Amino acid sequence: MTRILVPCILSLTVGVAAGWKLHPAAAAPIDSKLTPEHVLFGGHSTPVNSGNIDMSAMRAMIHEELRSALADSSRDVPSPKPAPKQATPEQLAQQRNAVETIDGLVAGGVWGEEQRRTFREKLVALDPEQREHALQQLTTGINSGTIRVTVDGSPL
Amino acid sequence: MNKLAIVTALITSLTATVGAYAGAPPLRNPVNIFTANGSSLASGTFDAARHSSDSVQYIGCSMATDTVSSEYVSCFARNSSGATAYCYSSSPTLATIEALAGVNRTSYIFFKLNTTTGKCTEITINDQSTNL
Repeated sequence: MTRILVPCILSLTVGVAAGWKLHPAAAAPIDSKLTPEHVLFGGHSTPVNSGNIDMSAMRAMIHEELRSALADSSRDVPSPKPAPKQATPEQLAQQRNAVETIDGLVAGGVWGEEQRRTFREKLVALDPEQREHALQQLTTGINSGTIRVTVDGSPL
Repeated sequence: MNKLAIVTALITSLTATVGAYAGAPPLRNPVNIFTANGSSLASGTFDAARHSSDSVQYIGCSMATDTVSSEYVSCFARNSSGATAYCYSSSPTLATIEALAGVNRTSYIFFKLNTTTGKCTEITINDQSTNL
């Protein structure tokens, strides 16, 4: 009986002692000097005394907080669409050639089968903005009468 | 007497046929083009343009795409006196594309354009039996 009782009492004593030591109330004494400023700025700020706040330090801290918050929010903004693929030098040369040819066709003042075919061929080399300009040139030329259409049906 | 009756009947029939032909109603909706205040309007049916006696007028629309990123539609017309109207749109709505896809020989086409930019500002497609 004694063989069982002794280990039980020993383990109970050890358990109670360990529990008492780990209790929060016993872990650390509450700092009675802790102020709201310490809580707000994590205790790392310039020491503050309740009657004389260091405004410049506070301003600097607020600026720093705002700056980092803005930096975080800017990271959340979706990135803009990727820029259109850059044309290669060959493509740029083709575009220049197409623009010159189309300008010549429009300046010619007559729109027949040959002009229609050439215009179609050159149109595919243009970027969207150039294509829009070419279509506008042709359309306004036909409607104003500076281009005489000799082909039946669509000028395109 | 019988011969006279037969000849008279034949002449009467022939006269009626010629008269009916001469008095046939003109084709409906030939190509019309009207321009005013910076806009042009063009209208007409395929049937009237195709079967007109002048062989000058026409009307139609076309769609094109580079199969990658852009498409455009254009409409064109020429009336019997040779005046033309032409417009395009490089940003057609889905409704426009669907309407043009349904164009057929009964179609009546009406389009309106801005003469400064050459852009189509309105395209109407109407299909009905009376267009024939």
